[in-house]
Amino acid sequence: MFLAELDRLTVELGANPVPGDIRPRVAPPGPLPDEAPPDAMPLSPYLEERLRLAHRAMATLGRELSTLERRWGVVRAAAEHLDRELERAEDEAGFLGRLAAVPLAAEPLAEGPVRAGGEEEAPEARAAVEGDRVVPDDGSLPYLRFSADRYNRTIGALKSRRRRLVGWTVGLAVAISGALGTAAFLAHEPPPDPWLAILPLVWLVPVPFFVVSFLATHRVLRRNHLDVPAVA
Amino acid sequence: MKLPTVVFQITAIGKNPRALEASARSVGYWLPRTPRLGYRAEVWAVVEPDGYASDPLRYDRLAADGVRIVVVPRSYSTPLGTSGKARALEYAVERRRALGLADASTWIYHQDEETVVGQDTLLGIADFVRAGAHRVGVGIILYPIDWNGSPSHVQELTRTYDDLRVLDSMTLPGNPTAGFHGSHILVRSDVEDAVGWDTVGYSPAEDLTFEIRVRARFGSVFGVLTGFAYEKGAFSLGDQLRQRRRWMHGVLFALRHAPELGPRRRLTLLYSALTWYSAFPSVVVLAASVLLHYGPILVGTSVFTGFIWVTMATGYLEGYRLHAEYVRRPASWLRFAAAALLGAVVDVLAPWYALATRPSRRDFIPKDRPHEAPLVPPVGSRAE
Repeated sequence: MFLAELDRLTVELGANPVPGDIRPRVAPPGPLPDEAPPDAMPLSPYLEERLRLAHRAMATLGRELSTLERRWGVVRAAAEHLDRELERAEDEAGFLGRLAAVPLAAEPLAEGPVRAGGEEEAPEARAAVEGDRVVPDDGSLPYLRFSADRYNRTIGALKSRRRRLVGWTVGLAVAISGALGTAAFLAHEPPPDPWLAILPLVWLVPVPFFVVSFLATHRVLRRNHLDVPAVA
Repeated sequence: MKLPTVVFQITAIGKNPRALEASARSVGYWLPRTPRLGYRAEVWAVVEPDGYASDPLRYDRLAADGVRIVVVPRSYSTPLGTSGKARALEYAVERRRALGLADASTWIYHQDEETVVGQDTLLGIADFVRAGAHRVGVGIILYPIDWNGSPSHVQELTRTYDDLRVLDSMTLPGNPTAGFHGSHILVRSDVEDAVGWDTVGYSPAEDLTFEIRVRARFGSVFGVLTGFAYEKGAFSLGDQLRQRRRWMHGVLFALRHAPELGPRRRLTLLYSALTWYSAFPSVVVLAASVLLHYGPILVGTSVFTGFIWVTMATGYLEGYRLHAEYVRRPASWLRFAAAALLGAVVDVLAPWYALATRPSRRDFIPKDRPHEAPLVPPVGSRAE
């Protein structure tokens, strides 16, 4: 439609004819006004309509191009999404392949979950994995050993430095308190007003909590083994 | 002999579907790779309708992979009319009862939407269930997921170290320092069924209320659950502030409205809240001491100052050491110290912020990584 309109316009205006264009110039309907200057473009009653149609065609084309661009974006996003999901599906398939003996999704439930909206229910599967019956053959046992060791090592390290932690805490606390007290003492400041004197007491509010927490932390480390069972 | 069942139950609004999916899949991933656990396992995701509607494709995919998606009906109400997470937890209790899973051979492992398990978690659960010495177990939580060394993440290190206090307190009669968790806890199903989560009205501190009830009914039945759980810290200081505000509102609510709270526990809780509140005035007093010349007074108070400062610093250092094998090391110790200071400032301000503002009941802390695009539901899906 757009190209047809352009052709019509070209013919109508007779301007910039395409090389090789042999079509005769179409005479405008009706006589030209006598007073028209000799170099003036001849007017046509169809010109305005043609231009309007051309504008409309341009607008349509622009809209269609925008729509196409948007749709292309959606298509591209969907393709990327598909790509990701295929990768995940491949992983999942590999995972399931390794666990062929595992009784996953055993039996359907008698009643499913209540969906969004409240009352409607839909069927679902139920996971029932019996740890006893799962014997992975993909080399995951060494990783299990690593997981257990890492946890036990982390907890064990904390337990092993418990005494040192007590020593450092007490030593540093005494040093800091001593430094602060000495600095305050050496400042030789006059006693503050009584109402101001009670303000620093707010520092003492959390002291029992911190003391109890300190004792509790070290007690739980001392009394409990905290290890997970070693993996054979 | 009947093989025990462990229900890995993730209870959340459900508006962090990617985090929730990662948690559910962590169970599904490690279970088959961890032999000789000695228990059957089910994975439940208990979410609100709004949460389900936020990413139905993801939830449906999880359901197809064997996760029981339990969407709490909007019309559901408990006998006492509780709301929020307690309502969802109570609904799950009723579902388990209906399915015959409210017995002594079933255990419920409670997870938040970002609670990822590892093989050590599964081994710890197996050990706890096998021993059968206690009916409720609580363990230590690390925060290595999505770790980036930001101030809000560094601040979480102290929570891990503080878990040692929680473990001790919880296993002592009376829980003297009021320690408990809402996640990484293992509860025998019949105990949870007997106690339930139902309370009168809104209950922002449902885990605290639950612990008090269990203790009142069954005595000191709490034990240490070995193995870590792996969670993630708040993504920003703003989220950290809102998270702490929620905690403080929970404590304040429990102080005012929890009938289960005896005078002694109430006093303990009040004192722990007061301790938190005292942090900000302490900083102000410290700054003002230069201008107002407290010198002679500071000679006395400084006796304890050193201990408090060292204990706080130990929380960061030992918390980091516990994480050391699970996270990348921060860029430098200087940056680590700066992050710790900034994170601490937010924690210092949080209780006062909680006094000035109120969270909404549907308030939730983002746990999904912001840069990951959500799944696009197909045209014509129910969510549209």
